[in-house]
Parts: sequence; structure tokens; C-alpha cells
Amino acid sequence: MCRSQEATTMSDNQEVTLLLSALTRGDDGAATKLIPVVYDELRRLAGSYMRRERVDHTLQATALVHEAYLKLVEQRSVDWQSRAHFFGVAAQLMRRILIDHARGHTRQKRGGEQKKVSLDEAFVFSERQADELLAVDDSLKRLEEIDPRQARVVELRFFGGLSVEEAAEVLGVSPKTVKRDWSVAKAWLYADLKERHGIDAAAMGERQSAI
Amino acid sequence: MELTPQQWENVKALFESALEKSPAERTSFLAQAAQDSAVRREVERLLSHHIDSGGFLSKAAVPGRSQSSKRHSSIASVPDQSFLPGELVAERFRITCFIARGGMGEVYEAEDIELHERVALKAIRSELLHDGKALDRFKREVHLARKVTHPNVCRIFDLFRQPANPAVGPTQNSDVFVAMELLEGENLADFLRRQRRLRVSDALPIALQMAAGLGAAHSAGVLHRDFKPANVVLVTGAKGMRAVITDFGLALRSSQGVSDAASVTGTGEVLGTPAYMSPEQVEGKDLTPASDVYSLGLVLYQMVTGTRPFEDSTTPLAMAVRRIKEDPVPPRTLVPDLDLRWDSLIMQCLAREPEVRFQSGDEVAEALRPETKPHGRWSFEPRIMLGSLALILAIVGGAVLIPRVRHRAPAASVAAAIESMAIRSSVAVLPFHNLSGRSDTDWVSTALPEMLTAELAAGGKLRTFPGENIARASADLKLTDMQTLASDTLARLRRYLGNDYVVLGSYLDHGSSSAAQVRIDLWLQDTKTGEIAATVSEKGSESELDDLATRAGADLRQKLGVGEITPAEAAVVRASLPSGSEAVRLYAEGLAKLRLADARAARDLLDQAVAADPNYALGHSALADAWAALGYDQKARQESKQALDLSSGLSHEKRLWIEGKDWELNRQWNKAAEIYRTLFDFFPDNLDYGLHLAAAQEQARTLDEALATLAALQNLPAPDRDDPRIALQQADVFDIKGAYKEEEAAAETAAGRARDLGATLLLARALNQQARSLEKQGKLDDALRGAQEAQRISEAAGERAEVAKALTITGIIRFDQGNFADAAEAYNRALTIQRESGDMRAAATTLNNLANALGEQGDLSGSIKMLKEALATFREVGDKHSAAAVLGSMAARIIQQGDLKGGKKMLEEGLAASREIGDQERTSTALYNLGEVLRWQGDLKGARKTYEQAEALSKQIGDQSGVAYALYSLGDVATAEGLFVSALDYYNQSIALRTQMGEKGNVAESQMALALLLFEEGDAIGAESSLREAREELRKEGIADDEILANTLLARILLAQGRLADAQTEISEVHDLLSKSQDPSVHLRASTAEAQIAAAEGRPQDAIRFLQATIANAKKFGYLGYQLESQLALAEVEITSGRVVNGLRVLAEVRTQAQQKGFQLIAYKAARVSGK
Repeated sequence: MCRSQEATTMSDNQEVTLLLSALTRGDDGAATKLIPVVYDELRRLAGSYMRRERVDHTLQATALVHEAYLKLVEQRSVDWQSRAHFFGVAAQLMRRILIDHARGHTRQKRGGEQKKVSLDEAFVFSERQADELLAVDDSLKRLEEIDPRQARVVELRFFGGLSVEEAAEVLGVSPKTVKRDWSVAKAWLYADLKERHGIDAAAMGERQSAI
Repeated sequence: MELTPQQWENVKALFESALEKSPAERTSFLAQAAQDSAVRREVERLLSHHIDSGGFLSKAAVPGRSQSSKRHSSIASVPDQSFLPGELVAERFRITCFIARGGMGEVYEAEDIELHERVALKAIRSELLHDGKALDRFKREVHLARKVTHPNVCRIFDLFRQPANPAVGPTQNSDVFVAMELLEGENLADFLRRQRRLRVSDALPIALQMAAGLGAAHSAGVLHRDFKPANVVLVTGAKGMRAVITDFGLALRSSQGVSDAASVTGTGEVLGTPAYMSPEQVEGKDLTPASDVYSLGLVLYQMVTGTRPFEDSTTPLAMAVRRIKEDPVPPRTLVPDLDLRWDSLIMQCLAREPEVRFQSGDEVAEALRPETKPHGRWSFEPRIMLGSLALILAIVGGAVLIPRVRHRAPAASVAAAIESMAIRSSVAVLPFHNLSGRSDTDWVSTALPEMLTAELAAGGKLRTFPGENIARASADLKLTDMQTLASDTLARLRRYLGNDYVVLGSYLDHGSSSAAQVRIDLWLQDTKTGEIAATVSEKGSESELDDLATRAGADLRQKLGVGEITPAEAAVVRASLPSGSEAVRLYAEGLAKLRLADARAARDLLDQAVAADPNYALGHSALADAWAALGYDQKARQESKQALDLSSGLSHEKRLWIEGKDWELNRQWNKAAEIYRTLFDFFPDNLDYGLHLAAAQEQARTLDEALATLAALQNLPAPDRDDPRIALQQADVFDIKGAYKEEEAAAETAAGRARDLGATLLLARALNQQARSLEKQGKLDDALRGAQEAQRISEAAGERAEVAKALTITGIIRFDQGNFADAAEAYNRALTIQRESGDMRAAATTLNNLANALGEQGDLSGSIKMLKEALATFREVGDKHSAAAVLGSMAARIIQQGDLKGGKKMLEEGLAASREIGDQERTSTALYNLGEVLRWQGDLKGARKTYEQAEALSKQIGDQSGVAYALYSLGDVATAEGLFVSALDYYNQSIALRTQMGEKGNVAESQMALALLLFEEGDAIGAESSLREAREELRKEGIADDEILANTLLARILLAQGRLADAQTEISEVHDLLSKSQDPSVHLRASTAEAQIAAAEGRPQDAIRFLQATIANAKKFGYLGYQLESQLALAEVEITSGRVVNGLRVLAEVRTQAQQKGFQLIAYKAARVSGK
């Protein structure tokens, strides 16, 4: 009766590190291999994260991504570009995990079949939060059609917590471009959320200029 | 309306350009620049949302889990704010937007309409400034804070008041405002929430700026009073990131301490931030700049570790209160590769006494600067030259030794001790060369270096080496009988021991008569240059060998520049030598044997030595070592105690050493660690003390402390830092942690280093450790190769104990492979060696392993025989812990043999033994097993009581797994008693616990029990599906007993549903698997089910025969519950096959007995059958 071992092994660690450097070199095939590893780890983390019953605990997508990074990547042998790419992949997956769950949540609430959600019980959304997240996702999909890069900037920054510089690295554009995209995308999404979903997103994040 | 890509590009460009214009200019700009009306409309639309969207999405996606996180997680909640955009405040500020709400009030972005400047405006909640005094004080603070101008401090412009408004009345939320510099950026609290943990290189710029900011304020006489991450804003600018401290001096002072400061306001928010308060602030004492330094220390701690000290407290207030009473765990314990300087710097900030801390922000900044050399306050303690300190202590004699660093946490003390250590010259005295070649004078070869070492060590100015290290080096480097050493040999020795000098010598001794003359010639050689620093020749009589050594020692001391021995030191030296030439000889010969790992011969000689000089402490201590090497704990403890009692004349160092070993022998690992820590604090250049400290910490199961100590040892000067023993000890700690990968890596490092040094024993040990780690990772082939190499090397080096260890590991690997015969062979070979060398405890352990191998081969009686022998041996050597463990194994085997009574007796014995030695874990296991036996025997009440005891004890020691076992079996008892609701509850609790711990197989086991319960309640279909699920899991986990049981139960359930063919399939699987189980209860239940199926197949005669045999077996073994079950089955078969009278007779019997014994479920079923 021994406890199960940590899922991540050293060799995972090295493998991910190698894949990242391949990705940085422009090998897109590496992303295909990276995705399942990162996805599993994120889901596992999300699951275990909430089991640690701590007071005043918020689950933050970016914290999860960061923890997955610490777990999966041999940090000493990785440069910041590789780090950015990791976060880039993880951002995409985190969005998927969150949205999947939000969707499951609303389905259940609306009297859909009582499907077992195992991991996803980890994320406890309020009804409104789930709706709002789905709305953002929906608007983001519309933005993708108009300007895919802008949508990706939002994904990287919002779901992956990447900085402007890191997002620029992942997208292979200048930080200035990212800033511009970010600024336009935010305004566009804000407008879209308000007009199509009736959501006033003013309080979605706090003002950054906090004192 | 969809835009074309070209239109969209235009939109983006125009949007950006428009943003650069002032709002007023935008309309005309767009009218001019955007000809396309669709584009213009889109840009206008975006612009209209731009301002509001400023903070939108700036928090990355945050699903919250409760109300507490509502602030972050809700997209659309609009906070109630006192002022609206456009509103004019204090006749001077036009509100632009709301920024944040804090404990003191709200913060807005506003425009100063007089100066046309954007400012941050803080509206102070009026109830905080309820009286004139509070307001006056606040004003003073603000005016003081205004004077601070520093790039890392948020400027405070001034304080403003809202003129009274009769329409609103005096109860308005706020009428006092502070205008401040507007900062745009993320605050450190959010940044840390995102990043969790920073590397030192990333933390440094922030830390430096925060310290500098605090420093500037401290110079101006301003305290922050509420320094915390939320009060630091990270502003990204052209010149990189700027950390700016906000809210200087704005914290409302509370002279009443924490109860006041933490008072809850009407809105449920806490004023002040106990989470970052200094102890004096929590206590309501006067504050100084050092109070801010403490808060800064907490922030730095959080930055580099990702957590705050005492984070496990239930509330911030509890956390703050603990800071008054406890020292935090050093950050390096959590982040082992943390820079030592940061570790001690943070710990100094967090000293509980303000005067011990840095005295201002500037001092912290100074210490943080990378180029700063440690000096002044930087190092924890004033640097004391260790040599002179030890000297003082030696002179003081019997006075109590007060460690300098007692109050510090262990890891910090080790690191700091190394950091502040003064390195002494070190001398190794090698065994002397016997020129006469007469074996009866060989002992002098050991005796003289011992004496000389004592002379040189006196006063503590020189570092010497334990004889066993030197013996190891001499053997590995083959240095025996050399008079001077060639430069390459010297270099190897230096690398091996780390000694600056070596003393080599030869002697000529013409016999053992008391008049015999001895002549000695010594060479003192510098290991770096190879230069002979001194030669010394002395002559004297053999009976006055110590005088000879004293004279030679004095010469050497002079040459080494450490001065003469004082009379007091001379007394200490004398006490460290035996009295009488006979005792001297025997002691020397005993030591020599001990160092050759011939513990049995050593024991005999040392026994005689202490008989010749019963008052010689070190003689008793060496004898204790010999006994311990032979595995005789009890004897070793006796000798060790004698040594301790006689040690008063020895140096403090030696006394502590003896005391440390004594605690070890008594398994008081915390105490032992404390002693070794003290020793290491005094002599941080002594690697052996550090290693003993780590080993004791490991045994005390303070594994992180052990690792921290070992990490610190790697900061020792070369070559000590590369000593293979450090990595070897690390490997061992990782082993206990269950971190086998890390263990493997550390063992590999150790092996590499040992190979470099030519240290064969250590190499063999490292290889063995590595093999062990590979075995635990399931890499059996690699493990086997490693163990074989270790065996080969140990054999070549004559290290028999390591040969035996390698063989043991081979046995374990073979066992894992299921190759029990080869396992037994390897164990047998190990056993032979261990018996020959007299290591009784190792032999007993091997006997235990051998017993397991035999047991798995099905040779239960052989297994029990081995266990009996192991038990006797453990008892003989006084190892009660192992004896208790063997009793447990024996009980299990005896029960497997079918002797429930004998097993019970053995369990009771084991229980008593575990209780006697206070081993609670083993006690709770024994209790649980005893409960099982009672249940099988049909004593349900007794079983329940025993399980409950096991549960309570497991709970008490935090053994969740044990709790789950007890709950599961309590469920079984309740089921038998017919108490289905309780049973359901027990099973569910056990499932919850087991799920929580990830014990998949055990979860399935509980689920199986639950399925049976469903079946008994009449839900056969539900029972079937959940049984099938459980069986899959059990199959995956490879738990044979439970898998058979699952099949058996399935067969029964299928039969009850009338699905004979399906039931037959199941039972044939049971048939195939049954040989895998040695558990009689499994066999009994399986054969009952088999008989029932035979009956259903129309073979009642066979069924009756089976059942009668099963009942007989159950009676023989004493399994009442299963006996009743079989009898019930028998009654049913007999009744349905027409032997009604017989059947009813059996049924009545079953009913009566079941009722008497409390098996209500069976009684009820029996009643139901007779009712039909």
C-alpha cells in the first residue's frame, strides 16, 4: 500500500526540454509531440491543485501553467525563448481545459445528462463565471476569423499569462506589434462582449494601475 | 457588417494613431483620416471601448472556487464606489476612474485641475479618522512622508479635505484625500501570484530597489508600517522595471497592538496586514526601521521560496502570532539551491529580536549588492577564530559548553558555520612503519600515531583526522610502510583526506620487556609542496611511549607554529590515553582490528584493554563501536554509557563525540543531531561532524534538514566538498524520501568520486546504493549488473560486509523477478559471510529475507523456521524493533499455515513488543492484524474493539492508510452483524481516504466489499457491475487474493441470478488462480462457491462432499464466519436435494450459533431458508 509515484519523470523532463529547443529552432512537428505531454500534466495539476484544501485558494490558470513548466522542463538548460514557447503551447491547452469545463458546467446546470466530470470538478465555477468565460471564448473565435494573430495574442496573454516580450517571441513578431494587437484586440473583444453577449467586462480584471 | 482584410488593417492603423491624439482631437482626426465610413465607425466603436477595456483581461483567466475570489473571477461585477467618473473632489480633482479598494479606502485615478496632472487619489475612509487626534497624527505622517523623494518611493503630494456638504451630511464615506504619484503597473502581490517563485537573479533588482526605497524613507525618519507585496508597484519603463513602494507612512498607527490593528471594519476587511507584520508590531510594541526590515524579509522570503514562513497557519493572524514564538524554517530548506548569502540575509531580516536584524533598508540594500563582501552585520555572528575559541573552551575545562548558534535553525547554522569558518591547518598522522619487523611490536604502529594525534589536536589549533579515515586512506592508496611520499602519492592523499601536512614515521622496538628501548623517526611533509618541513628523532623506553610522543609532538607543534601545550591541555591529552603499557598495547591492537573491519577480534582485544584500564573512556567507546559493528546494540549501549560516565577528563570535543554516538545507539536521533550540530558549529571544517549530523537528521526523519546540511557541506573548501561520502549520504536520504531517481544520480556521483580517489570501499558502497535505487525503480537488469560489480570490487578489496550487502541486493532483485530459488541462494551466501564476520544483526536481517523467499516458494514451515532464528538473533543482540517486526511476519506465515490460534499468540506477542518500545506505527498494524484474526475466529465484538483501537492510533500518528484499513474492516464486521447502514458508512469513508491517497488497489478492495453489501441488500445487478469494475482494477494492480475473491463473489452473485453458465466461467477462473493465494480464508470462500455451483449443475452429492470438507477445514483452522457460511450453504443444498431433515438440523445449528456469536446476517439468512 504505497502511494503512487509522481507522474512526471526525469526523462519526461528531458524530452520536453528537447522538444522545446526543437520548437525554438522552428520545428513545428515538435509541437505535436509536446501537446499531449503538457496537456496531461496540466490536467493532472489542475486535479491535484484543488485537492489541497487550503484556505483562500484561487486556482489561477497561469499559476498552473507555471507549475507545469517547473515540473516538465529542465530549467537550467532552457533559455527564455524556449520558456516562451512552452507557455505558448500551454496557453492554448489551458484555454481548452477551461472552456471544456465551463461548457460541462453549463450543460449540467441546464439539466443535461448527469455526466461524470472527474478532473473538471477541480474547477469550481459560478454559473456566471462559466457563462462569461464561454462568452470570451466565443468572441475570441470571432476575432480569430478577423485577425488570427490578435486572437492568438489574447490567448497567450490571457490564458498563458505571457508577457509582451514572451508573446512576441512565440509569434515571431516584435513586442511593439504585440502591444498594438493587444490594445486593439482588447477594445474589440470588449465591444463584442458588450454588444453580442450583453456583458459589461469592466471588472473582468482589475485596473493595473493599483496603488 | 463584415470588414475586408484591407479595411481591418486600416482600422488597426487608425485606431493606433487616434490613441496618440488627445480625446478632443480624435473626432476631427478620424473625420479627416478615415474616408471609409465603415472603417471610421469601427475605429470609433473600438475607441469608445478602449478606456474601459484598460484593465479588462489584464488578469489572466482565473476560475475561482469561492466567494473569496470573487474580486478576481467575476467579469461583470461593478464595485460600489463612492465617487463617479467626472465628479469633482476636494474642489481640485476630477475623478477619471476607479482603480482599487483597500483597507483604508478607495483609490481613484484623477486629474488635478490646477496643475493639469494625472494623480492617484486615495479617499480615506472617514471612520478611520473619527477624532481630531487621529486626524492630526495622520496629517503629521503625511507631511513627513511628503519629504521622501526617491525613485523607489511613490511620491505623496498632499492631503486634501472635502468641504462639508450639508446636503450629504457628515456621514459621507470619505472627506480626507491623499494625492499621490500615479503609477501604472502590476503590484508585486499579483506578480508573485503569477510567478509564484523567482530566481535570485530575477528577485535581486526588485529586492535592491525595495530595500533602497525603504532606506530612503528611514533616512527621512519615516517608517512604512505596512510593507507588503500589495504596496509595491512594478512599473515598466524605458529604463527597465522600477519597483515603487506605495502608501508610505499611511498605515494607521495602532498602539494597542494586533487586536486593534487587525480589527475588523464594517465591511469585513482587516485593517493592517498581520501577514507581514513584525513580531513587535503584532505585540503592539514600539516600531523602528528594523520593523520594516522584518516585513521586507518576509517579502524576500516569499519571492525566493514562493511561500511565507508559517504559511500553514489557519489565519494570517495565527501566522503573525507564530512569528513571535518560533523561528521560521530557513528558505534554503525549501529551495536547496538558494544562494547561501540570500538564505542568511533573509534569516537575519527575520530575527525575532529587532536589534539582531539589519537596522535599515540601506543596510539590507548594502548586503544584497552582489559585489558586497561579507562583513560586519552581514555574517550572522562575529567571526571568531575557531582555534582560539576551542582553546578557551579547553582551558575552561568542566564548564558547560554553550554552542554559539543554538538559537538558529539547523540548516542556517550549518551554512553560516561554513561561511564564517576559519580554516585551520590539518595534519594526518599515518601508521608508523615497524622497522624491526617483529609482529609483537606491531601495535606501536597504531599506538604512536594515536598519541601523537592527541598531542597535535590539543588546543584545537590544528585539525587532525579520525584514525579510521586514515586507515581507509592508507589501505585505498596503499600507503603502508612508506617513509616519505612521492609527490604524486602526496597529491592523491591530499585529495583523499584534504590534509595540509602528513606525519610519517618508523620505529625500532627491541622487544616488549619494560626496559626495551624504542627509537622513532618522524617526517613532517607538506602535502602541497612535498617539502619535508621537519624531521624528528626521539628515543625512550617502551613503557614510556607517551612521553616519547609528548616530546615528538612538542617538536612538531613548534614546527607547525601552534605553540606549546598548556598544563591544562596536557591533562586532557593524558586522559585521552590508557594508563599502563598493557592497556596501551591492547587498545592499540583493538583499534587496528576495528579499522580492518575485524570487529570480533577488536571486541576481544578491547574487552581486555578495558579490563586492564577500566577507567579509560575511549577504550569503552571503541568497545561500544566493536559491539555495534557486530550488531549487539544492548552491549554497545552498556559500553557507551560507561564511556560517557568516564569522559569528564576528556576534551569537550571528544566528550560531545562520545555523547553523540551514545544517543545514536539509543536511537535518539534528534538528540544525536543536536550534539553533532553543536560539534559542527564549533568545528565547521570537520567534514565528519557534518556527515554525522546529516546521518542523524536522516534517521530522525528530518529529511529536508539532512539535505540542507549536505548541501551546505558542498560549500566546504576542496577536497572535502567533493568527498564521496556526501553524495552517498544524499543518496541514502533520497532513498528514504522515495526519490529513487535522485538517489540513483547521487549514488552515481558518489561512485565517480570514489573512483577518482581510488577509494574502493566507498566505491563498493556507492555501487550497492545505486543498484538498490535501480531495483526500486524496477530496472532490475541494470540493478543486477550494478550489484554484481559491487560484489566484484568488494571481493577484490576484501570488504566482506559490502560483499554481503551486494549479495543481499542480488537476492532482493531475484525476489522481485519472482526467481525465489536464486534469491534464496544469494541470501544464503550473504548469510554465510555475515555469520563468519560475526555481524549478527545483518545475519538476522538476511534470515528474514530468506524466510520471505521460502514463504513465496510455498515452504511455509521452512520460512517460519528462518524467522524463528532471526527472532532469536535479534533478541540476542537487543534489537527490539526488528524483533517486533519479525514477530509480525511470523504471525502472518503461521496464519497462512492455517494455525489461527498460533498466529494470534504471535500477534499478541508482537503487539506487546511494539508497545514496549513505543513503536506506534507497528502497534497499530499489530492491532489491525489482531482484529482480523478475531474476526475470522468469529469474535466480532473483540474484532470491532481492536479495529477501533487501531483506527484511533493510526489517526493519532497521522497514518491515513492505517485508518482506511481499520474502517474497511469495521465495515466487514458491521456487514456480518447485519448493520448495513453502518457498514455502508465505513466502506464509504475508507474509499474516500484511499482515493485521496491514490491507493487504487485498496479502493477496489473497499468497492468489492461495498458490492457484496449491495448484493446482500438485494441489488444483484448493481453488485455485479461494481464488482466487475473493482476486479479490473485489482487485476491491474496484481493483487491475487483480492482478485480471486472478486471472482468468487461474482460467481455467487451470478448464480443467485440464475446465470449458471456465467457463474461457471467465473469459478473456473478462480480454479486457475487459486494456487497463487496462501490465504486460507480465500480458499474457504472459493470452495464454498464451487460447491454451490456443483449443486446448481445437478451434482448435489459432490456439492455436499465439498461443503463437508470445507466445513471441516474451517473448523480445523478456526474460521467461524466462513464455517457458518459453508454450513448454511450445506443446509440449502441438502434441503433442495431432498435431505430435508438433515438440512433443517444443520440450519438450526447455524442459526443458533450465528445468533450467539452475533453473525446476524447469517442468522437472518438461515431464518429465511427455513421459512421457505
